[in-house]
Amino acid sequence: MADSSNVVMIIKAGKKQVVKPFERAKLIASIEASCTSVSLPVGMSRDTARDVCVKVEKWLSDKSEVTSEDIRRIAAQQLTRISAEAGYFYANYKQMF
Amino acid sequence: MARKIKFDYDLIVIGSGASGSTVALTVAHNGKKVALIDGGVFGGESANWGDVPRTATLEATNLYYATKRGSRFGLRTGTLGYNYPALLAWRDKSVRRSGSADNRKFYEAAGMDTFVGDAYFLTPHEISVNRKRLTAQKFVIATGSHFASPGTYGIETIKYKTLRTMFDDKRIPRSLFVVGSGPEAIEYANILATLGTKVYVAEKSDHILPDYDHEVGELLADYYHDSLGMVILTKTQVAEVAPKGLGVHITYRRGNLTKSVQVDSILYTDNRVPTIDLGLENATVDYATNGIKVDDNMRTSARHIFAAGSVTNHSVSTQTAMLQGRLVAHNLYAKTPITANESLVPRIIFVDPAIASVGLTESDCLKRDLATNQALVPLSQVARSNTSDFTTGFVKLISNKKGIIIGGTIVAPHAAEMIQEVCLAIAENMTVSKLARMPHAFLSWSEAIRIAAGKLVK
Repeated sequence: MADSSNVVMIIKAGKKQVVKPFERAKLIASIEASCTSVSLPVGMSRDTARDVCVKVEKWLSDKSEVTSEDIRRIAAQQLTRISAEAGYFYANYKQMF
Repeated sequence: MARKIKFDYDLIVIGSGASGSTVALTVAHNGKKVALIDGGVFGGESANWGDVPRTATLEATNLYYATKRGSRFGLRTGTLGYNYPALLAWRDKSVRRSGSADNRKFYEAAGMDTFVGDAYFLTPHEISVNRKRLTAQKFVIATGSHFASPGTYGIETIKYKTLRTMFDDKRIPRSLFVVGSGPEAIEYANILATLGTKVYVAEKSDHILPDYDHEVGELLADYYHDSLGMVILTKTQVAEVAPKGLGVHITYRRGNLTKSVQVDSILYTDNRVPTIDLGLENATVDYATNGIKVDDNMRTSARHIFAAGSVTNHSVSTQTAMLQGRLVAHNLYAKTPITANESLVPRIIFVDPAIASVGLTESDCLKRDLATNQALVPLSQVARSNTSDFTTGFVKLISNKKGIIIGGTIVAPHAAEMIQEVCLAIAENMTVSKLARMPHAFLSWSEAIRIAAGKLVK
C-alpha cells in the first residue's frame, strides 16, 4: 500500500506505455483550464482546481499505480460536484475537440 | 496467425476471505497456477475478526449466562464470574486454531503464490500490486466489504467502534449504544450485555432483526430486555453524536420524539460497503454502489472475471460467500456453468436462544404475492421445554398451497442444528405431511418442527 512518502506512478496508455510520477501542478492546470473554459471566474477556477486536486490526492493516498484515465475520472467526479459544466467539459474535452 | 498471449498465472484471486480462499484452494488443488492477493490479513474477515472469534466469544458468554441461571437446577452459582483478558485469550486461540487466519504460509503450502498489497486493475488482464505487475488469464474478485464512515452529524469528533474494532479495548465498556440490529449487531449486543454492559440497540425498522420474520424481533426484544437489561429502541435514528467526557453523547429520534443518552462507546454495524475501488473501469467490470454486478454464474461484465462474496452484495453471509466460491471454482473452467440455490443457505445467529432461518420469510412471500400457509409452534408446546426449563422461542414453517415447505424460522437452543432439517425439507420439496410423519426423538427440541408441520397438514 502506498504511503504519503511514496510517489504514485501514472500510466498513460498508448502504443507505448509511458509511466510517470503524479504531477500535482499538471492536474491543477488542466482542471483550472476546464473551469475557465466554462466561464468560471479566474479566482474560483484556481480554488476549485486546488480543492479537486486535494480530493484526488486523498484518493491516491493508498494507491501505488493508476492510469491517467483513472485520474481523469476521479477529478471529473469531484469537479462535477462543484460545477456540472466544468466537470462535463473536463471529462469530455477529448471528444469535443 | 495471432501469437498466444502468455500470462503470469492461470488465475489471480483478489481477496483471501471466505469466497476467495475457497476458489483459490480449489483451483490450485486442480493443478492450475494461482496467485492469491490480500491487502490486509490473510484469511479474511470471517476467520480473523468475524464469525470465528465472535462465535467463540459467544460460546463463552452463552455458557456464562446459562450457568448463572443454574441455581434453579440446584447448582451453586454465587461466586461465578469471568476474567475478560482470559476471555479474549480464548477468542485469540480460536482464531489461531482456524489455520487460515493471518496465515500466509497456509496458502503457500497449498501450492499458490501469495502477495500482500492492494490490487488495482490497469487493463482487463493486468493488475498492479505495490507496483508489481501481474497478469492472468482469469480473475476472481473477492475483496469483500469494509466499514465506511457513518454519515451521522458529529461523527468526526468521536471515536466509534465497528464490528472489526469492537474488542480492541482491554476492558469492556460500561455502556454501549449499538446502531443497527442485524445478526452481527445482535450477537455483539448479546455478548456485552451478558458480561454486564448496559446495551442500547437502535433500529430504524419497527422490529429488531428486520430481515427476519417479525415474530423473531418482537419475541427477542422482550426477552433481551427482561433477561439482559437491554434497551431496544425501534423506529429510531441517530441524529447527532458528540464527545462528552470520556464517552459519547448521542441524540436520537424515535418517532417524533428527540432523546439523548450518554454512553461509553457507540458501535456502528450498518455502515458496510463493498470494496470496489480496484480500477474496475480499466477491467470493463460493471458495478453499482451495492457491489459488483454478476450474473447467475457469478460472472461479471468481463467474461474472464468473476466475483464472489460480499463484494457482490454486502449483506452476504459467510456460508453464502463460501457457496459462491465453490460455484466460481466450478464455473471458471467447466464447460457447463452452474448456478447456486442460495435460498437453501441457512441464516444463523449464534446467540442463546439461537436464531436460524432458511428459505422464504413471511415478508418475502408477501412481496412475491405468494399464497402460503404458516404455522408457529412456541417451544412451550414441546416436552423438552419442561426438562430444560426454557420456553423462549418457536418454530415457524411456511408452506405453499400444495403443502410443500418453502421456508422456516427457528428460535430455540440449538436452532443452528435444527434448521438443517428444514433446509433438507426445502431442498427435497418435501410436503408438510411427510415431515409431520417423520419420527422425531422425544424430548428433542426438533419435536417442534414435527408439530409445526402437523399444524399445516390439511
